Amino acid sequence: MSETTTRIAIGNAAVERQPGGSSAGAAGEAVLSVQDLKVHFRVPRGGYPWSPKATLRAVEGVSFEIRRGETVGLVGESGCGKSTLARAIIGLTPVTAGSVRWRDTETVRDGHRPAAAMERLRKDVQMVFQDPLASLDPRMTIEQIVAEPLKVQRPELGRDEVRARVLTMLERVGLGVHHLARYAHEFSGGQCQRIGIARALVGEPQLVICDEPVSALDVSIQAQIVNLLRDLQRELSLSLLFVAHDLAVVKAISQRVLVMYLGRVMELGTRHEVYGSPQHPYTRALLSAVPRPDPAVERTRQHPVLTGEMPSPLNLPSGCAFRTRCPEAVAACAEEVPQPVSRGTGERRVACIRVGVALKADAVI
Amino acid sequence: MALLEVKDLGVRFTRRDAAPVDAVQRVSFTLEKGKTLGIVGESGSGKSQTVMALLGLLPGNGQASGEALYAGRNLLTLNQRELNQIRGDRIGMVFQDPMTSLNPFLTVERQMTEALQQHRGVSRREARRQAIEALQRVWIPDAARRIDRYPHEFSGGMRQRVTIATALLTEPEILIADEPTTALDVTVQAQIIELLRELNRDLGTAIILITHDMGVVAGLADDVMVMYAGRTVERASAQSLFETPTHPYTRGLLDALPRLEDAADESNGADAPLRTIAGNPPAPGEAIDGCAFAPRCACAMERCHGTPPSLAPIAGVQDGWRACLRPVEEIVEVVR
Repeated sequence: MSETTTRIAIGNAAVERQPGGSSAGAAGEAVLSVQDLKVHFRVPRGGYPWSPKATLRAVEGVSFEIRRGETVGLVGESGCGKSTLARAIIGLTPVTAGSVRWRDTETVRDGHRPAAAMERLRKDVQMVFQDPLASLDPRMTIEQIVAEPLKVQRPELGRDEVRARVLTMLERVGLGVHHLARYAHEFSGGQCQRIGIARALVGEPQLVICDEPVSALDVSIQAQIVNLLRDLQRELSLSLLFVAHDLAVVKAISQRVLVMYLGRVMELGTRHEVYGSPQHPYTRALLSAVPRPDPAVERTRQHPVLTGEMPSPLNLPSGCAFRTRCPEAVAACAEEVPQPVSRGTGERRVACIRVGVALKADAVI
Repeated sequence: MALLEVKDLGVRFTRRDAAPVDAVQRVSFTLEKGKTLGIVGESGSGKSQTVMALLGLLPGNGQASGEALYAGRNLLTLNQRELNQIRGDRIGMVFQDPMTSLNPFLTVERQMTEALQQHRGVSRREARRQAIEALQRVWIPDAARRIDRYPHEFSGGMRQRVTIATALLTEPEILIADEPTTALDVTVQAQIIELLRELNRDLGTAIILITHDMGVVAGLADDVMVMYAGRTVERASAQSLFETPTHPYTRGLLDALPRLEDAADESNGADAPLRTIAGNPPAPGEAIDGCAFAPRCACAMERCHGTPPSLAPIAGVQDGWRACLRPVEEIVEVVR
């Protein structure tokens, strides 16, 4: 698509690469754009399958874009809709309304998915899952697992070619030829996640959606996987959507960060903006709740920040979804749903009417 | 005075077709009254098996050795009846997943009053009153009504607060919390940490906190024990352990943590990769000569692969212990 592409060889395969890699992120063009996406589920209101149904608003009007070679971190508490959003983008969950555009193809239009567009999407967009062992077929060898995407998407490739690409990919993620004939249960969690990454990348996708890819791993292994994803992303000029609840991990890998709460975007901005000077009260609360690995800091810090529980997505509060727990909430917050719009300089968008009114620069963190 | 004194604790699992696995080896620690001990390690490091052995909760093929003195008695040699007088009464327990440690068929009231009726012989009515009080103490709103609900009607954070309230009903001297916040969101985790801190301060309950999260340990623990492959690699006060970790593994763990306050904000791209510990932890039952961490250690010498290091005092650190053949000064040089 870009005229000035260099090609780097991965074995016999070649991948398009834009000069500058991810550093072009901030100014790069959008490859994925999500417009006002809604995902609603009809669920029984009572305890039985035949109870009257209610609408669960898992994703409620989310808009954002991912640029070429950029990593967008998607954070929020469990139940905020971050996984549903990721799954809706890749087509694993039906959408209710809104549109998703993958490069020049509309893969979701007004809540419908044109079949031809999905073909294209599956080739270009891949996913890495949370549970490394559960996402690998226990009855397939590692070679079969990693070769499967190629067999489906590139049937023209010969057997030797497939094997060569699988091997190159496995070596790239830190595994070797002696692993080819083994089964998933013979590997540790970190190694399984490497296999999952190899499977996602072997078909040369352009966007990889990672749903909590490191949260099941130990700290020392987690850092290895984060570094691996970062290296691969730069090398291949991949775009990443990195879904995680661990704010520090997201900070380590993302260029831009999207904060969700109850299906809505609360704040969206560059890593520097969101972590350096969080504007939305929810972002601030979230950041200050993260325990710091330093007793001196932890003992002197103010605790805890947020009281109460997240409201049910079956019964959203009027106006701002966060107002029931928000320390800054005023009567006006209940009247209208605040839209994530630009407030001030930079490309940051914040969905809060109180920004600039009550929130002075009293840095929370 | 030491409340609990563990000496040379070992846990061995026999296997039908293979050599036995030593999940915990030569672990010693003391827990002082009203203090919090953090036990940190990755999965498979033996941190959970250590407390399971203390509570007599090892599976059938597990065998504990060594000594665990509590109130003049060795917990490891008590029979089930004697243990039942201590467990859930003098020593309370909170586990990782509140949904699986609560019985889904019983109301919260039934599960909470059981312990009091069993250990204190109080009436159901009195037990209920105390249970409601305990729920209020852990900030469950509307406790008098909520107590008659079933566990599935509570959120994850509330369920964990119910298990903590249940454990505290008998005012135990020791609370063992095995990954109490791992299944919870950060905002809820902050609430639970604050709750544990408050209970420790107000009721003087000593806590053994098992976690893999260095941040949680930093906020709660007075002393920290770091475990790797079934052994203690370092033990010191939280202050000194976080300030000057003396074991290469502890250092590696702290360095590998992505941090919120890293200076990486300035640029939006080319920042330094996270520090990692290369390789994987040994598989359970893998025969290891020498230090178990040596194959992954940046400071390993020839000697490390042959001789297992024993736990020795750290010079200049009160109550600091480390198991490493290399002197502290050299580790600081190599790792930094």
